[in-house]
Amino acid sequence: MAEAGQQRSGEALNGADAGATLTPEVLVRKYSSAVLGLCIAHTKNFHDSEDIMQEVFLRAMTKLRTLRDETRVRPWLLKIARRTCIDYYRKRPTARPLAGDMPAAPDRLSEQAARVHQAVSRLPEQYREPIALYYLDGRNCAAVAHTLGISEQAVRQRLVRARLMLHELLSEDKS
Amino acid sequence: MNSNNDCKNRREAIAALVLDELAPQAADELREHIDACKTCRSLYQALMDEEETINSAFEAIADKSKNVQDDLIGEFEKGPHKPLGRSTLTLSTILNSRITKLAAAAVVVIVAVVALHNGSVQITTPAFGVQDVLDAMNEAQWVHCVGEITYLNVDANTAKEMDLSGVESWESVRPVRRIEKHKNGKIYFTESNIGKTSYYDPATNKITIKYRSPADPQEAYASIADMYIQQIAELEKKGAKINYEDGVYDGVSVKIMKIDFVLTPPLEVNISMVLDPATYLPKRLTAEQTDLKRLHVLVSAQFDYPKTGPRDIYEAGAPADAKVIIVDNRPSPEFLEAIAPYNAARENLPLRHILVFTQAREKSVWRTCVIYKDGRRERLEDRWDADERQESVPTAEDFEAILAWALSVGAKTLKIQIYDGQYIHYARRDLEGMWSVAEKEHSPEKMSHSIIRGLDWLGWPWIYNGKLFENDYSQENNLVCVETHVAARIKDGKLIAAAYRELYYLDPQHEYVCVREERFQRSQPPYNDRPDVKDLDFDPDDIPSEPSYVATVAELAQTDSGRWYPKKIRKDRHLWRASGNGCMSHVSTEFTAIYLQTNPWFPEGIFDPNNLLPEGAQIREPGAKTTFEKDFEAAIAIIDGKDQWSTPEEVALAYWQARARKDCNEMAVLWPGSASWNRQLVENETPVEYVFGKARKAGGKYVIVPYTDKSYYEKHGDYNLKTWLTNEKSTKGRYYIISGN
Repeated sequence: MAEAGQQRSGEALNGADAGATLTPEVLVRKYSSAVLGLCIAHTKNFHDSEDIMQEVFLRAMTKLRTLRDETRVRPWLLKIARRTCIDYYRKRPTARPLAGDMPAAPDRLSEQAARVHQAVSRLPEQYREPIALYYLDGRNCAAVAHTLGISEQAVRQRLVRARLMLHELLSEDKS
Repeated sequence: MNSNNDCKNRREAIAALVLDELAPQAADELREHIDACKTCRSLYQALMDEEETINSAFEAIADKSKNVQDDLIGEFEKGPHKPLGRSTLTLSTILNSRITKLAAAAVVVIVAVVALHNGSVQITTPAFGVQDVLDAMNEAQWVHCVGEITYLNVDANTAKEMDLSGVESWESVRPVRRIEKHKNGKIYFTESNIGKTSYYDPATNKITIKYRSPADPQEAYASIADMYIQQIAELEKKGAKINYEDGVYDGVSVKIMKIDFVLTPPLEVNISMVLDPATYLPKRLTAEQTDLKRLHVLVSAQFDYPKTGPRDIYEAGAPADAKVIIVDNRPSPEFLEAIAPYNAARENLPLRHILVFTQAREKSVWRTCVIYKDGRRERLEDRWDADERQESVPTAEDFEAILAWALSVGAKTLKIQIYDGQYIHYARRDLEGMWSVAEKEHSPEKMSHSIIRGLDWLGWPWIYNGKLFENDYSQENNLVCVETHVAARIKDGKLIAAAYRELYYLDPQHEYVCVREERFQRSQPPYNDRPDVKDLDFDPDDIPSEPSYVATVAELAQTDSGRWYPKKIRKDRHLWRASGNGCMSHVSTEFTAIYLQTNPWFPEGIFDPNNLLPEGAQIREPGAKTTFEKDFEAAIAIIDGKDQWSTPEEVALAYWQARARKDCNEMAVLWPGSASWNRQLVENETPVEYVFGKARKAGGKYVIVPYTDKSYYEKHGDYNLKTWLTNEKSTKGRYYIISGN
């Protein structure tokens, strides 16, 4: 019993530490690439990704006290990001003007970047996050594996398959 | 010379090379091949060209995001900001009803209390004035009951579980209300016509208000008389015998109604109800339930009939300062509208059919099941674990051939169940080829709990609530997608099953078959150690982004009448499991194939319970022990015969150490009953070094010792596996293993 109590106090302290050391600037600068990667994976245009990313960090700051282990800040942020992506689209009206086949507007990005983003958004769900995180967050399989909580081998396999699918989609788009 | 197939097989390797994710030696070999092969060179070059495009695209995205970062930091620097407005969290918690918390045996008594406070209506006893009783019940606006329940011969834990030592209740049909006020301070206020239940817990000083679909027909009675008739009908279905006697109560001549029935033997229930001959309404009830082995329950209740009752939970006694939590799980009108054709399709499943389904991993069939169904009558033959793992389904599409094959498959265990329209009859052949026959049961509802019922399970699962959802998959395939949230299950303040989110994809073009099902659920501890989970919430942040279970219909087929049904289903389940190589996360894939014949010819006597057992079946003598039971007893004797015994943690450690050195004798003691399968278990296993956490109570006489392989622990710092132990059968209270993963 005493131990359980101590453990909880420890968790609370960790939470306080997280609040003290993770300033907004540190949080944003350090993790925005990963968060953006995830948002890119779940949206069809950069404008939405930007909006969601902002909301993720705002939510994160309000919930920072609930973070018990600072070393888990990355997966914690990505969890918030996934949820925010789902909420973002759920809150939108479901009737859409046949948008499924329409290319997304370039959204202040180069046409090339928009084309890649569009292709990524057409990948099956399980491949989008690994590939977006890989390219946006340092091209490092181990880091992606750590972020997603899956094995490096699984990440490698998904990346390779996603990359081939991306090739098909980009070739199709070009033609 | 390379064939096209060779080159196809190299596509993934080439992509890995481009991503710089190929081992150096493999990369060198592949480069050599690329130099020599035009097809592969072309793919490699295309991928490399694209790589530049993709990199610069993501760089552009990252650059743009820097502006967003600056804006965000600026926003934070302005000062403390308000938390984001969050939409009201919809909690899909399902409260455990009072009834479900009781032992199954006691439920019947409680149901009787609920039902019988309204009088007599046995249609076969006109002498008592059935119509008078019904009229009197319809005149009564409220029924007030004060009941006492006494448990005898019950251990402290069970008594705590059944903390309903007394209850005061009010019930009315107009308005529909049921209020229960328990001696322990808990209050339940149910308005089932609007699907609302309020629950007050004095321990937390919280009132939880739960809304569910009012379409749920549960407790939808037209009148108190109707409620009574339905409840009595339920008792009669269970075989209750109802008699009337003249008697005296409080010095007044009364009519006494006696209800006796045997629940699952040896549970006997005897109810005695005093009916006031002046008002024709019940005054007092006593009920006695006897389980010859351990449980004895006495119920006594007094009834009166006030003009009114509590209007809300506060009038029933909940304090005004209690915190209120709203759990709203009502389906939206859009959902009900969208789901209506699905439910119609589900309701109209062919009532007369033979269904054969097989379950296989890769090509090895491990289960075959045959269901004959004719209206309510049903026969099921379920074969598990084929003797020959290479059994494969005949390729012929001829249904008769497949049926004959399914019925002839050699299997380690076989269950046969017949529902003859009135009773369930059940027999099972065990691993030693001996048959056991269960007592027939009356409740057809049990069939849905214990076995697969057929098409409604395989193609049209029961979807009672949820929200419409859209994602790429539903849009691209023109499917109706329904999202449901299922709350976590908590017992004694601990999370025992994680919450999950489920997506069902229904195909309107093909009879609304559920063509895909995705479940998002954390599959492993340490969720049960979370101290922050106190209420039954659905916590969206606790749901993984990737499904832990996916069932996809790979092929649809049509019956002779043109009805669509799922023919082949693929199920991928993400699992954590201890293995020879440590704790592995892997995907287990199963395939289900369905063969369906509608309006078939049935062999004579197929639903006749006299034909439950196959010819020549050897029935295990009552009291004869199985090999498992013999092994188990031998192990317990060794455990209890030792001078000293270890703690649960030490037992778990000793078991895995014995397993590492392939010491089957030691394993068979530490895990009683495991003697017969230990050798198969360790034969090809590579030893693993495990680390163990502290044992914790898991309810009743069980404890859990968490453990994991060393490398997993070093990486994650927690345990993802569990060993279950108990001391239930040891006369000295010594712990031994009963389960583990």
